[in-house]
Amino acid sequence: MPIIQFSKNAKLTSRSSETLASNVTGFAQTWEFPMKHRTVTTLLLTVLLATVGLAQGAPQLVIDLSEEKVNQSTDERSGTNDIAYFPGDTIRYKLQARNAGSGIMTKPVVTDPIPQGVSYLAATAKGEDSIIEYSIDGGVSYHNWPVTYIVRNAAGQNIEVNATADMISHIRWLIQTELPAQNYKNLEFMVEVN
Amino acid sequence: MKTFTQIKKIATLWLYTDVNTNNKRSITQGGFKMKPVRFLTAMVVMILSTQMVFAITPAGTTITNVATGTYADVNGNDMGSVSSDPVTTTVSSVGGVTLQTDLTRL
Repeated sequence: MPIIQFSKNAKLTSRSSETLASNVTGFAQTWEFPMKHRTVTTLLLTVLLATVGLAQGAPQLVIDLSEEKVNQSTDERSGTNDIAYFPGDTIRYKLQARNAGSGIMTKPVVTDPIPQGVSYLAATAKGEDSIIEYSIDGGVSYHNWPVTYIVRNAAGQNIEVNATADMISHIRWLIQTELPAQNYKNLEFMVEVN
Repeated sequence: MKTFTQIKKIATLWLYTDVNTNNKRSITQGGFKMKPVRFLTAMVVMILSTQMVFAITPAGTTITNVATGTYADVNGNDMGSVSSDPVTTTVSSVGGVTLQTDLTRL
């Protein structure tokens, strides 16, 4: 039967019982296992990796979205009056991209279409460790600010024009760092009620 | 047809006004008793106001926002997409404004 042999004066070796019995001299301690040391090593590595894998688990993205009226009146701020929204009011949307799972999250991307009835306010989009991109074509393509588009002028020439904030249809945050378990990134933008 | 009538009235103002002794334009044939520049200004203001009214979100409109997200695991495997809970805001009605005759000019 194959064995693994440990001794003070010898290296780790693998031999059969018969070979060991005929060659053992002066061993202080000897342990025997009924398998080759390569098999044991493989088994231990497998167990180790499985343990790490179980501890790692899977990531899970949760987006917590909330809103607040920016230009609240004194009565609204104190709670005397309910918060009312009128055309011209400013709303701040806050987003928290959170890893609710147990594994490391990579490449988190959060997209928010600008709702109907409001317009994006320029330079209000922010995001921790994020590249922010904008779309003016319903989310088909995204670009850095300022977003430009091509128009033909009276002379028949194609010229590049900067899009205005109210033309933004979608905002996208490309979070540039890994998101470990239970970690999050704060994102936000503001709109005006039309 | 209505547009044609308006154009005709505007043309009438320009064509049939004259400079009177006070060096001011006055209508000599039909049309309005209004100076052309003032009339045109009023028209522009009216058109712009109309457009603004149409652009305003009506009271009772619900503004709904939903964010979506995608992500991958540590090995780069796509983990699909998720959505946030919707956040809704309802637009309130603006207080009414009553227009009255300016009595101070009577």
